[in-house]
Amino acid sequence: MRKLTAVAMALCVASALAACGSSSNSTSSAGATASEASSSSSKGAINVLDITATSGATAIFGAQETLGMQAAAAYYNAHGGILGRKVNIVVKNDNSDPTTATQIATHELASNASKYAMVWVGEEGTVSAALVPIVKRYNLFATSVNDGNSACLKASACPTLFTQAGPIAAGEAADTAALKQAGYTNVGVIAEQGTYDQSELQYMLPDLKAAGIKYTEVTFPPTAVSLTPEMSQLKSAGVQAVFAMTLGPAGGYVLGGRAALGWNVPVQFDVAGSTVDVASLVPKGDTSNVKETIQYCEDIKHNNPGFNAMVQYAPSKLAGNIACPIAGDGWGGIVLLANAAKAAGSLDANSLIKAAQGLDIKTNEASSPEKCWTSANHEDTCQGPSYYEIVPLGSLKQTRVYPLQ
Amino acid sequence: MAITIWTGLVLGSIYALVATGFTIAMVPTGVFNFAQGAIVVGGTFVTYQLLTVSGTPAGLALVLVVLVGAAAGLLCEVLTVRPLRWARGNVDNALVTTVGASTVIAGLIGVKWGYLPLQVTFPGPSGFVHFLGTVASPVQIFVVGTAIVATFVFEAFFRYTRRGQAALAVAEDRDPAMLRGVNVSRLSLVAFTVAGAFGGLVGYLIGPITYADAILATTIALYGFVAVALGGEGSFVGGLIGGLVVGLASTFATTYIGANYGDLAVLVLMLATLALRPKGLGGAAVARSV
Repeated sequence: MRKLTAVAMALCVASALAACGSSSNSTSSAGATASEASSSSSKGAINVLDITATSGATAIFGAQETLGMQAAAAYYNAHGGILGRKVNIVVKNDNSDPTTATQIATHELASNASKYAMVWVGEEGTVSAALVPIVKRYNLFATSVNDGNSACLKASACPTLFTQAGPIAAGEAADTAALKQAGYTNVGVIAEQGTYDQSELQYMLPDLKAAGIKYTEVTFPPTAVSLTPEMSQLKSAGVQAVFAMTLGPAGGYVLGGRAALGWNVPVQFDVAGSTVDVASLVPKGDTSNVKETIQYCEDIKHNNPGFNAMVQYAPSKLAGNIACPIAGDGWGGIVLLANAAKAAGSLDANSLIKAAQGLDIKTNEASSPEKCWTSANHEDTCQGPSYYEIVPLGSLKQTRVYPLQ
Repeated sequence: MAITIWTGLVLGSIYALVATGFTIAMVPTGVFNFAQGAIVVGGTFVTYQLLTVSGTPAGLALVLVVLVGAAAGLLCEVLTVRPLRWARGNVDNALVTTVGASTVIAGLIGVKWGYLPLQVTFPGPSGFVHFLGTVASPVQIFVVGTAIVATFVFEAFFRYTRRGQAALAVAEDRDPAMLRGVNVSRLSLVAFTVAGAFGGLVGYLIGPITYADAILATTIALYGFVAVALGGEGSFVGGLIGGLVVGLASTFATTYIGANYGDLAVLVLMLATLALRPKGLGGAAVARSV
C-alpha cells in the first residue's frame, strides 16, 4: 500500500515534471544569442516571453503558435529588427494547464518582468484567461489568440492584452447561421469537456436558442477513445444534424461513431475541430455529408507576403491545415509588437499599449487580412462572423482570400 | 446500453493492456515503470510510420514495432534503473527516473511526428460486426481479445514456469533469491525488455483506435496505474479486472451522468476498493489487528 501511495504521488507530479522537462528557456533567438538578451529597456535584444503548451492537450496550438512567433522574429531580425533591435523569443511550457501557466508566469515575472517587452499569454482561452490578471499586475504589453471569455471586449478588463482573434462568439454565430440556413430545427451538439470547447459552448447554445433551433447536448471527456455511445444518444433523440465541438482525435471519433451506427446524419465541425485534418482521421467513405468551419486566411499563392514570409522563416515545417489560422496568430503577435513599437517609437509598455489601441494593421498579416484594436475594445474589432465559412470536409484550403471571390 | 458496455470494455481493455505491461516489469523488479505508457504511444507512432507511411507488410511491421518497444524497454532499464542499483543499492528512486524516461520519449515523439493525431492503419478486416445489440469494429475485438489472452499467458508463465517462479522469488525476497543463484540483474533487464516489447505490441493494436497521439502517454499511464491499484499490485488477472472496471465505470458515468463524472467515478471506485481491500481486487484480504 505504501508503494502504491508513492506511485500515486509520483503520478500526480508526473504532469508537472513533464512540463518542467521542457520549460527551461528555449530561446529562439533567430539571430540573437542568449548572451545578447537583456532588459527590454536597454539596447540588447527585445525579449518576448512565450508562455505556451509544447506538451499536453493543446500542444497542437502551442507548438504552431510558437513557430509563427519564431518565424516572425527571424523575419524582423533579417530586416533590421524592431526599432533596430533583434527579437528573442523565450519559450516556457505550461503543459496545457492554466495552473502551471500561472506558476510559470508568477515565477518568471516576479524577478524578470522588466526583461520582457511583450508576453504571449497562453495557447488557448482558459490559459489566457488565467494569465490576464498577471500581465495586468506587472503592466506588461501582451497578446494571445483570444482571452477565453471575451473579457477584452471591454478594454478596461484587460488593459494590457490585445487578442489576435476576434470575439469567440463570431465563429459560433457563423455556425448557427449555417445550421439555420440549412433548415435544421433540431440538432445535436456533441462537445468535448475540455477547456477549449467549453469556452465556446457558452456562446453556441444561446445562439442556437435565439435562432429557434432546438438542441440536444452531449459531452465527452478528453480521455474518450470512442464516441459511439454519445452519437447513439443523439440518434435516439432524433436530431437532424450534429454540430461537433471537438479538438484533436475526437473529430475522428465522431465520424467513427456515426459510421458504426450506420447513421449518415449531417455533421458540422466547429472551427476548433477544423484545426485538425479530420478527413485524414477516417476512411474516405466516412467523410460524406460532413462540413467544417474555416477561418479565412489570406491567399498564400497570390501575393501574400505575410504568410509566405512566415513559411519561409519558420524554423521547422508548419503543420498543414492549421498553419494559417494558428501559426499565423503567433506571427501576428510579433507583427503587433513591431507595429506598436513603430507607432510609439518606444518599447515602454504604456507607450505600446497606447499605440496598439489605435492600430489598424493591413499588411504583413498571415492569419487574416486586417487586424485592429480600439481604446475601448482589445479584441480584434475587424473580425466578425463573415471571417468564417462552412465548407464540405476536405475543402479546407489555405488559398482563400477575404472576402470570398 | 449494449453500446455503452462494449465501449467501456474496449476502453478498459486498453487500460488492462497497459497494466499488464506495468506488471511484467514490476513483478521481478519492484519498479513501476512510468515510461510504459510512453512506450505504448511510441508503438502507435512507429506503427503509423511503418504501415501508413511506408507501406511495410503487416507482419514485418509487427515484428519491427515489437523490437523497437523491446529496445526502448531495455534502454529504460539500463538508463533509469540500473544506475540507481549500482549507485545506491536500491531502486527506490526509479519512480522519478522512469517519469523522466517517459518525458524524454514523449518529447522525442513530439519532435519527430508533432502533436497532431495521425491515423494508424489496421491491417485486419474492416467494417463492423453486430452482436448482442452492439456494434464493434474488428480491431476493437482484437484489443479486447488480446487483453484477455495476454493476461492469462503471463499469469501462467509466472505461476507455472521455472523462470517465472524465479521472478516471483525475487519479488518475494531479493537477497535469498540471489543466494539461490537467481541472476537478479539479468532478470531485471529481461523483464523491462519484455515489457517494452509488449508495449510495442499494444501500440500496434490500439493505434487504429486511439490514433497515434503524443498526448496520450500520460493519460494511459495514469489509467493503467489505476487499473493496477484496483486489481492488485503484481496480479495480471487483477490488472485485467481493474482495467475493465475502470473502463466501464468511466464510460457509464460519462454517458449517463455527464462527461465531468467519468474521472470522479473512477476515483471514488478506487478509494472505496482500496479502503476495503488494500491489496486491490486481485490481492488477498488483509486481516486487521485491533
